[in-house]
Amino acid sequence: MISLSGVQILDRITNEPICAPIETEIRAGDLVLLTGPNGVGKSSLLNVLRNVLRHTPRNSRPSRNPDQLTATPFRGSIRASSLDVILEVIHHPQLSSARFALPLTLRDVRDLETDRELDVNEPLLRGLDLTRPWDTASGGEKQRVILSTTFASASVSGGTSGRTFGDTTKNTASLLLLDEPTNHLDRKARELIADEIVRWVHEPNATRAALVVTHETSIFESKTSTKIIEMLGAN
Amino acid sequence: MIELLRLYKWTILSAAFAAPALALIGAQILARGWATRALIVSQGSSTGLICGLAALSFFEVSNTFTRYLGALTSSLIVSALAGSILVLFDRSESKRSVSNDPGMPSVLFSIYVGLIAIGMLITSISPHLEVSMSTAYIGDLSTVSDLESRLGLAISLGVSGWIWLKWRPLTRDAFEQFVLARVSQPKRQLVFTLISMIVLSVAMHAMGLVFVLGSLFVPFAVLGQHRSNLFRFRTELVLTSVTGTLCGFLLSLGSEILPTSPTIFACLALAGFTIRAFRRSSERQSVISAN
Repeated sequence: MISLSGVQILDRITNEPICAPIETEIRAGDLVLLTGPNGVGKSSLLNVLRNVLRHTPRNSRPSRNPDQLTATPFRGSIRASSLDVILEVIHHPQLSSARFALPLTLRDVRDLETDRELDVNEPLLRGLDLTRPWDTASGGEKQRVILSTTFASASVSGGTSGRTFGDTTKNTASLLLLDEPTNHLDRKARELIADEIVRWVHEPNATRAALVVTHETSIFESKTSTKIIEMLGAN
Repeated sequence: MIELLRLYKWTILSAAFAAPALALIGAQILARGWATRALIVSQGSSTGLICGLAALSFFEVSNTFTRYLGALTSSLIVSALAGSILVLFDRSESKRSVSNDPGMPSVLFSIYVGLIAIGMLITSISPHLEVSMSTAYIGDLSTVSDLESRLGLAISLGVSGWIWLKWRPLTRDAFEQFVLARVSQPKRQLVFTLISMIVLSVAMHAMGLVFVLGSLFVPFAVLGQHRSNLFRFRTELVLTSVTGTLCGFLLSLGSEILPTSPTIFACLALAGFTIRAFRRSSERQSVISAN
């Protein structure tokens, strides 16, 4: 799906690399965990991938100068092949406190993103009071609804939240990018979210992979074979 | 009174339908966190109107419709310029990764005050344009022709209908942008921004800044968001703005001392409080009947 060769995130001011070069390939069925110390550029790498891949036609290198595609400076080569959809659920530290000016319930948030009929027995939604207003829901409840919404939209159309290439009604190849999806969640919620990511990646007859930035690799490792990329500092 | 109603019927209708368009736009703007930007673009539209009227006077353009189109175009250009500066500013902030800079409002308000200053400068250079300054703030109903009012009415109806029908996807765009920090439908965002600026400029010419800002924000502020739902809230916004504007107009026409825009402002608030009270009462009733 994607290959990264000598990719390094650069400091915005000095333009010096802040991490060691990354060489890796992400193939269908991979669950790749991206880990490493704070400030090494994990979230920046995710943003680079998001922006570059969104503008890259299938089976090719980026059609434009990568510097024009992302505000995050980097060096190295990113190549995508057979990738139809990029889905992203970036965990924002502010998600737990993010309020919204219009009156939305948790169910509204889900319904806004997809026309697929809501199944309240979906594992991520089970036990949630979906009539609860978005503004009063906890960070964990919000994260579960957002993830459920992303998975639902991916199952229907190839993803309303992702950039799509080609006919999305056929079996599409999808990459899910997640930035610390289990932050600030209790153990049960973390397990639930990890389970659902693994299930989504390995769904039969689907060509999918996920790249997850996390400091909690053990939750995922216990569930499936995963690939771990540890990002190291430049020095 | 009947005579006045006959005289201003198209103007009243135009304003009564511009108000819900503005209220719906205002709710979407607030949901995107663009309140300050809307204030600046509105001021840009107001300053553009002064510039346009000044230029039209300088070139001694007397045809009413040409004056209307000229003032509207100038208003749109300056508001679009103000909007473009904000977009460029946003991009530069995002590249430097300082979009959460707490000092940012100082730059935004500097642009806002700068636009006011430009308007004042133009007025002071040509003192006979003081009436233009006043037009930009309180509108100029007496100079708006039936044709212009009908044009404004058609634009307002079209925009209100579009936002009404697209309420769900527009809300999704706002949610994605404000909560998830991403924009998956940039074209729809652009269309929303452009039609918002057109409605602002049309309403600014007829009714002025007080009406525009009042219609944008007062219904939302008074209705509040709690104990409502997304689609009922949309209906409440439209009801508040239409009834508030019509009542304000009628009161102002019937009185010799009440100015139009401030009266509409007060009536918008009153209509909002009434609808909110009605909503609370019906919610209480349904809780009682459920028990």
